[in-house]
Amino acid sequence: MTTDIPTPENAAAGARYARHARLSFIGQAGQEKIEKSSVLIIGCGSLGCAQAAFLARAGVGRLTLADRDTVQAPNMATQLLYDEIDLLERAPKAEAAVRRLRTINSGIAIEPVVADISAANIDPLVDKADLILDATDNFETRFLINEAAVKAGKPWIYGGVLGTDGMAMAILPGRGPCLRCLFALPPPESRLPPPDAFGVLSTAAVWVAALQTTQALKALACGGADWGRMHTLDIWNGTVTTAEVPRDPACPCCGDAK
Amino acid sequence: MKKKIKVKYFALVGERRGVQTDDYETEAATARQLLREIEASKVIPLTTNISKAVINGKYVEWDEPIKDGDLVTLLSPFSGG
Ligand SMILES: [Zn+2]
Repeated sequence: MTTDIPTPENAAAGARYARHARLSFIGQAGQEKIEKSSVLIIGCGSLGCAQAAFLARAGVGRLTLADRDTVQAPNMATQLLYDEIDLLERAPKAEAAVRRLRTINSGIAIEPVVADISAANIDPLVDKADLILDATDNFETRFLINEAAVKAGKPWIYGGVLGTDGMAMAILPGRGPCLRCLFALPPPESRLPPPDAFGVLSTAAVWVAALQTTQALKALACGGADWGRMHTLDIWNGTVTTAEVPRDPACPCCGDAK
Repeated sequence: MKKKIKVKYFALVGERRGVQTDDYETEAATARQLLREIEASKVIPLTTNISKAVINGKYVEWDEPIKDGDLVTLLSPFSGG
């Protein structure tokens, strides 16, 4: 856990997080762990906006938000942190999101990274985080996250959304499967269902983000999450199905030979 | 002797948008044979790349046997964010 995190000086800090600290699953001790944690969110789209808002309000001590894009009109329906000024200014999403988050919680450290996440820059970002939340829109970047997280031994939470459906799975290297135990190679983007043509329902994205954020809070506050259980959500019909993902001992990323 | 199973998949065709579950009868012995049969017959409109099969709540290898009454999910991972 990082230690160089500003602590809110106002006396209301305790009251501010009382609802979470009152939860028996979290408690005051768990809340304090959350406040000492550092989380990296990769992507500031529909998933990243919701994850960041939840975590800023939960008091996560340091948030880093990475995204290369600017705010565009089609983002407005599903990406909860942006306003019309951000849209007019074509603001970089990471910066606009951080501006908004600072008005939500001024007592935590929040930093934007306006960059394309690649093999060249991911490792230092992962190294200073306790946990990584996936809010990307492609499997190439998810494979990079997986590789970096396995190398660093850090937990990360996969999430993806399409239409009114979504998926989420918590991954802890060494404790359960990694993403490559499930998909040896990135599925070819050309043969994946296309979100642009297909659309995304805002509430489906927020539901996926809520499940990912819950897994993150469980991991940070209690050290545990549903490692290796893929949850598939269908918000139109209000259903969730869960399937066990086995760890592959021959996995090219986390396998025993590595 | 045909096995009666349910196939769950992600549909992109016409009104059939989102996750669908169809009753299906098959002689396929394994998940791989089932996928090939469905791709050839097009009785179930798979329009996306199928990466993995889940049988009765467990991710399986493609040579996993298919039994009467199984729920087989043919999965394309969701990429949107
Ligand atoms: Zn693995």
